[in-house]
Amino acid sequence: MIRELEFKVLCQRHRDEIYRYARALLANRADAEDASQEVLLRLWNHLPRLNPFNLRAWLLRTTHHYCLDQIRRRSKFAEPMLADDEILAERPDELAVNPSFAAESASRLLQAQRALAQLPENLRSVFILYEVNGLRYREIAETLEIPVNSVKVYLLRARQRLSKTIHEKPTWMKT
Amino acid sequence: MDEDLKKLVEELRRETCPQRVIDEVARRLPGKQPSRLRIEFAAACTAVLLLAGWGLWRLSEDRVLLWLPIQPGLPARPKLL
Repeated sequence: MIRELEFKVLCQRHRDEIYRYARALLANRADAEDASQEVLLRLWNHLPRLNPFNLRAWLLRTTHHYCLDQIRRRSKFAEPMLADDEILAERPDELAVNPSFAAESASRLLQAQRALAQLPENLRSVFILYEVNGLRYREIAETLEIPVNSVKVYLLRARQRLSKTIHEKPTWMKT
Repeated sequence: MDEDLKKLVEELRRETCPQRVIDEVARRLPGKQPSRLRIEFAAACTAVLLLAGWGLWRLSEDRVLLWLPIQPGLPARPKLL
């Protein structure tokens, strides 16, 4: 009974954070939902043995490992991004007012998303944890079990690479 | 940071976990689902209870026959089927 109550409270507190991280890593809502479910079930199973002081790091680390496992398994298909239609469907107002602007905006967002997906796993994870989940250097280091200095270096490299990839013209435009 | 990237980050920050995820987790919690082992155990217990009840009933019937008072004209002990 106490365990269930504690579990409910923890679910309410951390579910968005887990989902957000999974969503950014997997770039797909359905997969992020599956990942969140799996992580919360693992939380239930490990709850009696978990240290409440580093629970957040444990949850994000579990999400991280689960998502990377999924990415590796699905690497054969290798197109995890949202389609243009899906991005447009998320902005019905924008689409109704100015369809061409909405389409262009969606296309640019898709390019940013592709750039993020093209980053190596370590850079992408650090970037998402810092920018999307709002973790500090020390917390990211604890979550990914890497030194704080590596976190700083990875974040810098991630930003540089993203900037470069986004401003690069697509190959079909170069010719 | 690039403007498009900023937009993407803002969109991702706004994401929230749908309620159906929590509902599904609640449904899949191991303690809440009757496991196959539990069902088998319950079936075995029921079978044992039924057998025990039947055995007791048979035994009580036999005893009733055994305890019948000896009446004149009847054989000393009733025959058991």
